[in-house]
Amino acid sequence: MVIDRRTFLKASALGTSSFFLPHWSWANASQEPHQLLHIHLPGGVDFTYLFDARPLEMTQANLQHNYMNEEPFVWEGPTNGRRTYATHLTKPLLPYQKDFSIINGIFMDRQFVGHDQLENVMFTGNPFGGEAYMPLLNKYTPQTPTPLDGLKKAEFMFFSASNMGGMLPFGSKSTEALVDKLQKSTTDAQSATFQFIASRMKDIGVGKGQFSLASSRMYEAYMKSVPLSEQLKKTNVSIDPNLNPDLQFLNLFNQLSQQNSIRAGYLSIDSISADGNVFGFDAHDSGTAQSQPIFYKVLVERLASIINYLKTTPFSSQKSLLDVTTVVISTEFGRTMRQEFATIDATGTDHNPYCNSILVAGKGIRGGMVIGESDFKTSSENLSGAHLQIDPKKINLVGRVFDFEKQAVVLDQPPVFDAHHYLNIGSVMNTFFDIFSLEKSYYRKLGNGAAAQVLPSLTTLLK
Amino acid sequence: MKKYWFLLLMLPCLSVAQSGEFKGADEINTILLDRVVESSEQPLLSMLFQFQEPPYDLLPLLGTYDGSIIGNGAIKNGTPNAFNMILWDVLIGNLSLRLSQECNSKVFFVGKVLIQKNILSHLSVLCQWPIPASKDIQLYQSLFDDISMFDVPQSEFDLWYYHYVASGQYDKETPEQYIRELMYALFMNPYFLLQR
Repeated sequence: MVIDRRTFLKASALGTSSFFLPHWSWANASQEPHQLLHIHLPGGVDFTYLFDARPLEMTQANLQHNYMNEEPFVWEGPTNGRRTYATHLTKPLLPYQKDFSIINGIFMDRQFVGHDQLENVMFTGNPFGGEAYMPLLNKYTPQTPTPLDGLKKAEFMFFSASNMGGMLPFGSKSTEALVDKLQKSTTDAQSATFQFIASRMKDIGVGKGQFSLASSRMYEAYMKSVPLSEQLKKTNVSIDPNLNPDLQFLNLFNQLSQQNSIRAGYLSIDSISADGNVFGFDAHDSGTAQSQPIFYKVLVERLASIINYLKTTPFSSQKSLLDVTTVVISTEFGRTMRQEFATIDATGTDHNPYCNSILVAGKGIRGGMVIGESDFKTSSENLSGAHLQIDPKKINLVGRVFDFEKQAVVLDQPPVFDAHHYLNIGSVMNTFFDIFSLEKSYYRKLGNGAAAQVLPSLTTLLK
Repeated sequence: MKKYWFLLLMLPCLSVAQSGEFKGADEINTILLDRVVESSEQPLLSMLFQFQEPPYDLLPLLGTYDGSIIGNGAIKNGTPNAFNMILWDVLIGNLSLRLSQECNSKVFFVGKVLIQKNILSHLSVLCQWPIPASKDIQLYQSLFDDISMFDVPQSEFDLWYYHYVASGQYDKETPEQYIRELMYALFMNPYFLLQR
């Protein structure tokens, strides 16, 4: 093949110069700023220590463990007046009662009970993993894509996602080293070599098939890497020793959000408490279970500190970071009330996929709500046939039937279990997707094959 | 027809092979050790980042093999995006820098990465850039063939050779700078980095 100079220059000039004008505009997007922050508590949180507590008579009836040995108090959602029991451990969150909402009685899955499977259900919609939803919010919504999908702090992550490559790792020496390296170098997008490589990516990307598709993605990514590199150079990724680890993350999250560099943040709160103790939500053994109150005390203090930071940190002159961020605080499942063969004062707790809780706050969310509810509120409650079908040993809380037309719990007692009757994790996730206007094809469904139906959203939660 | 029934079993593999993503860190590491690098005192890709500590958090973002049920042997995190392009740029940039070091031992590169003999022999001529011998098309074809996959179209070589040699636009570059740019372009080519 012989190529004359004229043809070559024409091809490379057309190949690269056309990219810059329309595509650099993302850096100055005029759209309303909006990010998602997903704070995950891996291990399976026992919400009976938080916002789905039980009266002591349940413990006296040998049904529900309670290592605090205190009566809970009534937490009333100031916006919708719905009530739930909460323990005194939640009191540091009382000043923020109007800022966040509580979703109780969430059904996760009937066939899987493992940490990884149910994290996968939450984050990818598939118990075996797949595409995590956070990067999707940067690709399949009307918002102008940000150069990074997000920021992640994930010391321990059960879920298996195939698309987290655009999430900047937080707090690692390598991220610091990378930014340091970028600060010491320059990429000249006008150089002949840059233009040549870009033209190869673009030209190969014109063809059909997956290879060409990847090449066109590579071309687009290569062009966007230049302004991203410039933004990262200006970003302070070093750790501020004066801030606790959660706030260090939020500090960088705010910086990147202000630069319009990220769409999402993923922060896992795990392993180590603020005072250095091992954080053990997964309290199968009774020793760990008995030490839970101190861990939940620390957890609530950390959550209160996070909400306070989000509320008080300016994103702009008019808005706080919380004003522009949709916040989700989750865990992969709830916990059993006790273990089958243990005494109530020496029991651990196991995984309960029938009743989970999630806290939500921020942009697009109506705060001050209590939505959904679990059953088994008293020892004398008549449990539904559905409950007894899936939990004949009576060791689990199960969500109450949720009517999506009324957007409220109804006191039906279905004789058999049908997941359609309950507040499904898919509905909760679809609610967040509504807030970001995610493409409908990514919405969570229930059922198999052609019979699968998109799960309804919690419209009452939307502002 | 009957005897080819087993080809049906290969259909899932074919769909995985065409996933439109990077080859991933492991495969590029293997290719480099197979074709370019003789040995390295630390794991090669980690060394190529030239950070003080191995970039354990960043390597998976170049794409990793997913052996799980749902992964079905595909590459995880392998879709090109602006961030992993920065990572490839750093990694390939440093590999090219290391190759250019063969001309001038004072070029800054930390750690020991030994280059294969056949590549060294090509570099020894390129280090004399721009003498006529360093522009010999056979030299470039041989270098291209040593590094690229067998199925890369000849037109990729033609364009690469034209840009770096025949166009004359690099004639005033130092040998070190020339080798850095020449090799960077070869390794950053989609045929080198992407799955086919």
